[in-house]
Amino acid sequence: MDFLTYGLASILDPTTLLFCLVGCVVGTLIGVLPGLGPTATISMLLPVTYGLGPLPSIVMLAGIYYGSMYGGSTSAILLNMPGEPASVMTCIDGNRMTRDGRAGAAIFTAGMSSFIAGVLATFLIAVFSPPLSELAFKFGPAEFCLLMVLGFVTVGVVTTGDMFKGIGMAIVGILLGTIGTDINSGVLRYTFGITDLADGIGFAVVAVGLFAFADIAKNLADKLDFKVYQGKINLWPKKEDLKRLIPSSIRGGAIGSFFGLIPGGSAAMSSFAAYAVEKKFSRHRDEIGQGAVEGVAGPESANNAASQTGFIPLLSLGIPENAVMALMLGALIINGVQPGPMVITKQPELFWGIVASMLIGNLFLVILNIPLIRLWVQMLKVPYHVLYPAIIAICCVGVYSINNNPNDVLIAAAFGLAGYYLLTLGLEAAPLMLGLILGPMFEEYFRRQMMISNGSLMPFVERPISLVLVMALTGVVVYGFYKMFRKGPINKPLDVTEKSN
Amino acid sequence: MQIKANRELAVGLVFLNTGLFFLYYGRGYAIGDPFNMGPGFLPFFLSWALVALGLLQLVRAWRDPSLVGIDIFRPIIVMASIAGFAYFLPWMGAIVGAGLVMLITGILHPKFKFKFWLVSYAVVIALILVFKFLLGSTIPLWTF
Repeated sequence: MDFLTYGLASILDPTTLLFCLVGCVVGTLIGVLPGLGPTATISMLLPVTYGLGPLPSIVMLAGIYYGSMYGGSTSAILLNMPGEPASVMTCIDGNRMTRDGRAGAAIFTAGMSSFIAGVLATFLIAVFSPPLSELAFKFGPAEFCLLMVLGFVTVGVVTTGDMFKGIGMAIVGILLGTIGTDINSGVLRYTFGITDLADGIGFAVVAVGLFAFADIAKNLADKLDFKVYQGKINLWPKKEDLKRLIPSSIRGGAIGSFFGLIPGGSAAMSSFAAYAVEKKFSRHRDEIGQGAVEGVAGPESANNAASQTGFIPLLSLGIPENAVMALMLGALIINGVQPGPMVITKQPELFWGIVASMLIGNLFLVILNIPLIRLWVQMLKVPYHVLYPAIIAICCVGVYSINNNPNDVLIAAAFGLAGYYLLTLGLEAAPLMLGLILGPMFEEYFRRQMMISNGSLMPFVERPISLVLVMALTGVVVYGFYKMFRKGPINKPLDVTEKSN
Repeated sequence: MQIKANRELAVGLVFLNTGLFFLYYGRGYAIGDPFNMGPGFLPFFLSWALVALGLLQLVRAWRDPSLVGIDIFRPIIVMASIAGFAYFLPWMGAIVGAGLVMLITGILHPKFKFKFWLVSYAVVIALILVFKFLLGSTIPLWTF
């Protein structure tokens, strides 16, 4: 019912619709272009969302995130080059289909399966977020603290593949988050007498440095380059393909939805899992790897679903599960929304507006990515070396415009340099970002809990919900140790594209 | 130019130094007690945790001596030109500044062509105008 009253109202609002469309177009564009990922783009556009209001901001940024999942498949299919990390698995069967002259069928499959999974995920958000936020009202500060710790540890484990490094980066992030005025005592911490630092380091500034600037420096060193696809694209699908893509899309959508929900889960991870499942359980499993529709539909539906269900914990608990969601949380905060379980009941127009925008967004995207695909293939002709200087310049102007302060650009450059070296050392920026955004919240909840419980740590294990969270945390830590001490190099980069050749 | 470094050792030094930095400059903040935490409580314990992780990395470096190549100059040039943009902005304005940043960072790529630079520069100028006139940025455009 709320959906009808609030959701429809917001879809019919032309501003929201416009920002949804902008997000979807930008998302598809950066998804198509290799070397420019959703995390970098969202951090780049964070400055723009100041003053837009919470609903248009989130609708646009969300559109960029799931839009990039649609777009990413295009370059994976046509060029064997993932447009963003979550479409790595699509390269295998997708590009094989292109080489067999079935590029159109592969693109249709990717778009259609993403759409099916997107609608499924939107439905899950609408159904599960409200009860989850009801449950969250039973959470005390101890539970929120544990949820955040769970987020730090799992994001650390899955992004760097090495628990100690991931946790280290999260701690660095939390420490950076302590810079500024301590809200409890009013003491200035680590400001070194610089007045700009009294309000803390702006996370949007850090995000641009760590994700946009550092990424560009990394791509420069890696000499990213690609050829343009010249072949034909025949989009008309066969009945057989249609029949095969539906079960895979539903399986992939379910897997993706799960990975979006769990702390540290990401769209990229879900596509790996979905591909593995297709390889084991789909009816045409023996064809997978040789250009099977299932090999495209599974991972593509999963990454789209995951990029949407990540909003469930964000909107119902106020806890982001990965770096992109942490940026979304930031966008909510800068637009004056205090994230938490109250959002759904207190600001139903925001929650249902986001849900409704996802339905519309997926519709926009399926149109953008199937009938209008030739437009994006044209876009692929813009080489990266023409693009990146422009991205740098726009980021400079964007960062300046956040607070109209040139010092922010200096800070972003410093974080860009640090971020580049950290990346080359295998230290991912995602846990740091999560620590920086959640750190102040974590400290606040931790202090409150310790005050309530008279300095005792017992509430962290006594209460039923916190006990469950502690058990989950233990599980993740055990898994982290297992992953670290298994034989093999500590930091093995994911390189699936090579295997596909 | 590239230098080779022991990866685990470098990670260890990053953690160790960050931890020590926050410990040293945070030494004046009251720690308080668990019931009533002072502003120094969380930084103190987290810094020590980071120092411990750094030391652990040093042990791992000794067991896993794998090397990693680190590009030195290119990232420094990129970030220095960005910092230069920020520093000289009041004197040269965003339009000249953006052009210079694009030129300096663009030349780093072997395929740089002036023609492409010109086209993308035009797009960037349009976007700067969007920031200035639609998004309410106070960035100085032109100072000459």
